[in-house]
Amino acid sequence: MVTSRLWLSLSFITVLVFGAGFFRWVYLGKSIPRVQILLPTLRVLSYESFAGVTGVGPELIKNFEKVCQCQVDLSSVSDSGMMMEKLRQKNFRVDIVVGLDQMLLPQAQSILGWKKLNFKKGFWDSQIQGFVKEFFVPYDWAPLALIYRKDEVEPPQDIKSLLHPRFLNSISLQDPRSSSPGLQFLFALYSWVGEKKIADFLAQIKQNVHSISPSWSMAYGLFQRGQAKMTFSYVTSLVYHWTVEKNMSYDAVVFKQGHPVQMEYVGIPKNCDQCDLAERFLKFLLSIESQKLVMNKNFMFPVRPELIQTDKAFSQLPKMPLLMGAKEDDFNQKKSVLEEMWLKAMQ
Amino acid sequence: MVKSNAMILKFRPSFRRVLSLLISFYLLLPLFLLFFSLGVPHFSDGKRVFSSLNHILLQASLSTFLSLFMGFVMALGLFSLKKSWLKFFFENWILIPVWIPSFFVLIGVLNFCQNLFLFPFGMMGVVLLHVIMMSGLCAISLVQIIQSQWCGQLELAWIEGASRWFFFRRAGWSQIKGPTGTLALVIFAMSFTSFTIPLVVGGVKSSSLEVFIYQQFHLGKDLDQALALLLIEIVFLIVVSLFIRHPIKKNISHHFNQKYLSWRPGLFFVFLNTAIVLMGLLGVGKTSWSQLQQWPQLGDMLIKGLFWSFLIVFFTGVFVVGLQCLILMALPLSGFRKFLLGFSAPSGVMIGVALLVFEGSQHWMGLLKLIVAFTLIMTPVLYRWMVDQKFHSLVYQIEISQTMGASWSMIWKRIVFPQMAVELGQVAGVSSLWASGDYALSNMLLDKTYSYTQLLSHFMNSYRIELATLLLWPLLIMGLFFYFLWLGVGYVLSGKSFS
Repeated sequence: MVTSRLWLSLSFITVLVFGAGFFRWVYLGKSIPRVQILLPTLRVLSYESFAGVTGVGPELIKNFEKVCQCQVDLSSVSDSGMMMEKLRQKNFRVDIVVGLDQMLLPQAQSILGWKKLNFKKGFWDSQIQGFVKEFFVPYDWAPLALIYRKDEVEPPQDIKSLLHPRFLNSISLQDPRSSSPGLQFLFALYSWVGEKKIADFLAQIKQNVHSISPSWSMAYGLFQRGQAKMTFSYVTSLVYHWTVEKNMSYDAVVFKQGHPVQMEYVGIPKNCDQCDLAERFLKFLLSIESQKLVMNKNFMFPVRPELIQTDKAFSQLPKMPLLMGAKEDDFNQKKSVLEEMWLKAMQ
Repeated sequence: MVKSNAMILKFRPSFRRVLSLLISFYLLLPLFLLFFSLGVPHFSDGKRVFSSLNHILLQASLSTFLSLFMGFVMALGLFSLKKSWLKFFFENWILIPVWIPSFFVLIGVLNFCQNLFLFPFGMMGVVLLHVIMMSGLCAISLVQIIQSQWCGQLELAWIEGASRWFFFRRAGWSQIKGPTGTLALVIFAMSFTSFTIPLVVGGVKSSSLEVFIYQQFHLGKDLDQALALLLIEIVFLIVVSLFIRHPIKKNISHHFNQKYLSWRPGLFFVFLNTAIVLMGLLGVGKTSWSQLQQWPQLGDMLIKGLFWSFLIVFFTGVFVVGLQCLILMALPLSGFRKFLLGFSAPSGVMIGVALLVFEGSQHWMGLLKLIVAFTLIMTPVLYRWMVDQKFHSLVYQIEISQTMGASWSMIWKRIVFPQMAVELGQVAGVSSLWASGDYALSNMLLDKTYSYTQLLSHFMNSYRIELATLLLWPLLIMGLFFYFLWLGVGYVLSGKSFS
């Protein structure tokens, strides 16, 4: 009696769940375009910000599939660090990788061979020409700066004033070991104050640091929720607040010494199966239409020069000098030492 | 017929041994995979390990002490309740923070603090959240301990004119110190190895061993040191479980005159603790509603996410309870029981890494890996908490039945299952509830966005934290639905089988 009741209940629930899944499968089967069965498949590897529901990836791929006579299989991982883990797997093959940041490029090159990518010089926004590499090209970018709310805090005028006691416990930062913006902040400090003074600067700024989060989203979430008064983020974050939230109180602190830049790159591995399709996808990603989509969904600058001036919010963003590549190579070499210094100061 | 029964009797122990070996192998599989595929465990930076372990020990000790203190205050409040329905309500109310996934507690408390005060990040923040999560569990356990140990004596001491303090000092403490110590060890182990909370609010210095392992693996890329720390964790948990030889007794006397211990203001903390979490989760601003309206295709996405989460949560419950049933079929074997009581699963991060060794993370394969990961994480802890004590009390009945010639299938049908159905229902319910709040393992093991929690993490990663908070509610409701569903199934099966 007991067993039959048990089996009846479990069978009923299992049948219900499987039934729901089966009917969904049958229903979705109606809309499968039959022609796609014979089409080649382009395998794209990316991470959450591109491939997630709020990212530009799903819409972009839908648009690409309309014109490419192909189907796209988009794999995503949580962050760009996990992309490296995926690329390390022996049996993992992919045709194009979207979302590598500049700090990961040396690592990516040590894992895989990559195809050379040729684009004309005038193709890129002049500000980022220096960031275009032989094997990787950027598809969006943004300088990073301290973001604040005008009604909450008087912004620091220069780097030294960041140490002022009025900013006590007010800056939400990211851990440079797990977050690209966190690493960019360390790079910015390295560029601003130099290697010799960075340890002292870190020790002094510690009192003004509200929290150190493992990711950008957590650090920014604390700032959005009013727990912290400033955070280190993309300057283009302002566009989100200005256009989506209609809140104009957000602004960015501009330092004349320059700001680090977050570039997001695309690369095509040498062992790609659909190399032609991968190149077509890359060109599609860099087309004016797709770049507009990148601006509006990812809230990042496009890499095409023609677009920024046409958008009201993007054109109003504060102009800031950029920290360029030469120092970045130097920083990359000393990264582990600097991370150690940072860790020691912030503990 | 006699011959075949004898053959079954002969065969049975070896069948149970084989089954127990298979289950042990399954539970140990991630460790084998990690040690064979990653490297040799050793410490590359002993000084940092020592300093971090000190920090973690301090955090865990503070969390334990304060949770016990708050738990004691709440227990005194619970003693002031006379009506049984009120008591039932508040006993479940204070357990909400420990049963719901820690991610929800975290969001709730941070939301609650938003406009009141700055949340203390770092070690104090971790301790605060641990206290909110675990003081309810401490309160319920202390009520059980006090009722079972002091019943009769407290009343007698009171009649003879002893003060509460005098009774506590001369007689009370010596009786409860054993079970309280056991409880403290459990809380200490939970604080020592918690993950989500110290990861988010702990800051740079690792505030728990799990976070330290994660940092070594994910940030430092020091796999050998991560493995060495994992070994420390396993040894630590084995040592803890060796101390927890005598679980807290549940034979509570209903004649206990609790008015001598009641302290009504304690009820305020009973109410406040869970209210902070729930009010924080309810306190979503106007922004979240406007974000909801700006997203016309959100409905479809959420339904899809809920469907996949539904499957994950449901099958996690089924797999975990299925494995518990297999464990019960293999028991009572003393060696196997010792293994189950002593063994603790590696951290979620390490299990995720171990399962990445298996190729394929798309569609059903990814989902299967995720459910297997949940099974591996939850089975040992849920066995210890919910199954072992009850099953152990049945061993005598099983032995008598065996002596009288009952077949194992009959023992399972007539003795074990009917009496364990409630516990199995609870196991399925808690595992479903915990699985509903996971997003870290989903992001690690799934190649695409399937689950509802993955959707929420996408929203959080694209400025829409308010929207994510609002959308937590359907997930919490789904988790609770499964919890009560499984619990109900357990009770119904148990009730029917006895009638």
